[in-house]
Amino acid sequence: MIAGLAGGGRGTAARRRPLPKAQLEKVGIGVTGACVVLVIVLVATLIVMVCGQGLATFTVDGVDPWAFLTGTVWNPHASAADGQPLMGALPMIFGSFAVTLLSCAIALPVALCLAIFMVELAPEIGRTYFQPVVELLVGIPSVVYGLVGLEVVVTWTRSWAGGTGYGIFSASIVLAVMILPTITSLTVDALAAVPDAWRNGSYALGCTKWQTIRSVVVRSAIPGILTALVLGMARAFGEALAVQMVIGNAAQIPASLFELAATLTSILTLGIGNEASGTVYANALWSLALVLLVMSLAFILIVHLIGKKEEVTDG
Amino acid sequence: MNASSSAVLGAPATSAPASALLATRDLTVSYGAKEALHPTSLSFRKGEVTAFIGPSGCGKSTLLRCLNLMNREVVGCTMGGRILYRGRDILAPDVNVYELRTSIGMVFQQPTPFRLSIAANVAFGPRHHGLAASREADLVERALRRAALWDEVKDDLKKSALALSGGQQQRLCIARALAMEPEVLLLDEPCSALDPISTFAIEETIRDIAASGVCVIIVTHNMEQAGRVSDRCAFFYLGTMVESGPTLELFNAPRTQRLSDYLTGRFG
Repeated sequence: MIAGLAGGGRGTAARRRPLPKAQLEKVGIGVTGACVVLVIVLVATLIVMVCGQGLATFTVDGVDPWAFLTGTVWNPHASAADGQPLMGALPMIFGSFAVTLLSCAIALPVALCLAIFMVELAPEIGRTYFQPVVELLVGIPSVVYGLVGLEVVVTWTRSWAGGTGYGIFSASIVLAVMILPTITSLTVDALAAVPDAWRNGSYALGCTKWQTIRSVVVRSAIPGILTALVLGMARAFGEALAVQMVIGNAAQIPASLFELAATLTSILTLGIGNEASGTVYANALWSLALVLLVMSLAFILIVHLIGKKEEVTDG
Repeated sequence: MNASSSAVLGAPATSAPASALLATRDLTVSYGAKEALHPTSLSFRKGEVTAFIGPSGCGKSTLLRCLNLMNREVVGCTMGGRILYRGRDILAPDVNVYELRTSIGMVFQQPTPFRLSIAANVAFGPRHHGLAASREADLVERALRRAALWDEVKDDLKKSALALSGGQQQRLCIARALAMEPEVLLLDEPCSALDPISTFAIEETIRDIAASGVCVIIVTHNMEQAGRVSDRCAFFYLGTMVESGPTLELFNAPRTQRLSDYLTGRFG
């Protein structure tokens, strides 16, 4: 019956509609599928290219990978006594991890307090005032953060810590402000996802609001808060411009938080424009990019693992 | 509606306030300007199960949530009249609600285990009220035994409570409330989300808890359940306590047309 109707309709509709339905469906699948393929190809090409170029340091230029990861002298133009280029990336790797961890250590407690206030204590004020402010902070370009950091944070640091004011401390402060909105909004989501029934369950046991927030709400939201933290770390790790403006960009392991330092991203952005491709220095910079890429993938993997674990405990 | 004033206390001669552990006197509850519970006076004694029955939205859960002041957590909710617990008005502003809730426990419609282990769920209340860690294991076992859950979970105390079945989760919540050694246990439709076998297990548990001297108050929309577990019953309709008394009396010889209609299934 249905087949008969469809068959009868096709004869008259064929002239009005350029494509029959079945073919139209194929076009839809084709267009969306092509986009998927495009993205997959894009990501694959990117990974292959960064790996290929980054590994050239070790395969073509003959640098020992272990020496690259643990060496402390970064001067790819020069060579050591044994003829190996001086390519120790440890100062940058150290710098990247230092600013990431320190900025997260500063941002997480603040983000958690903000989120508790917005979700548990004053949801009305949170929604009306804080939400737009947090969204605004996300939208500010990183060069603006860098400028303000340069003018305010570096000057302020110099005023009490001495030295130049550049360094891991200043970079961490600037980064903390930059990742604060990311961590806050994801933590807000995590706290808001805790069912009210659990809060009531805790109140019914005679627990106070603070006991409930601490032992039930925050505790239940830990997987979500960890996800927020890791995404904040990923952002801090990958941020280039603002960090480059306030860290000083000296490829050395600093003796204190207030000495010039460098991160993978800052050395990369500073150096890449000045080198012809294929040179030893350019290859070395690609190797830094490879380290960044591997770390970013690691962060994303961690987020997935947290998500998986959460599913298991919920089941 | 005349019945509501004449039958306020069910059997007034035997339920003098002095013998009651918990009692309401002309208690009213309003959400904003709307009175959700009209003046209600009831008394509850130790070792008895009282059931609140009536159709949805009749005020039975509203009343229950007054008895441990859970309504204080609801924005815009105000209570009038008096609630006497051991002769003291708990609506007085100087009453410590947190302390009160340690002796008036509550279990909700949906099981609400926290994302913690089974043992940590049971010990949750006592831990927040200064229980010594050395006594914890005993207390957890005792509470789980009283809730008839011990045999099923004794080997899995460290496992996540969220892995339990719905019926087990609800008994865990009962154990969690019992761990505080409450004198009063409030149950808000504890079986409405459960299958018949779990329901039966929980009804057994409720009888045992009452037998151990706890004053149990249960809200249910299930007449058969009220008949099975309760000693006394209070019937609510549209925010008014219509009739109350011993369950058997009420079910066999309802004094009001409203309750008679409800019992025979004319509405509800």
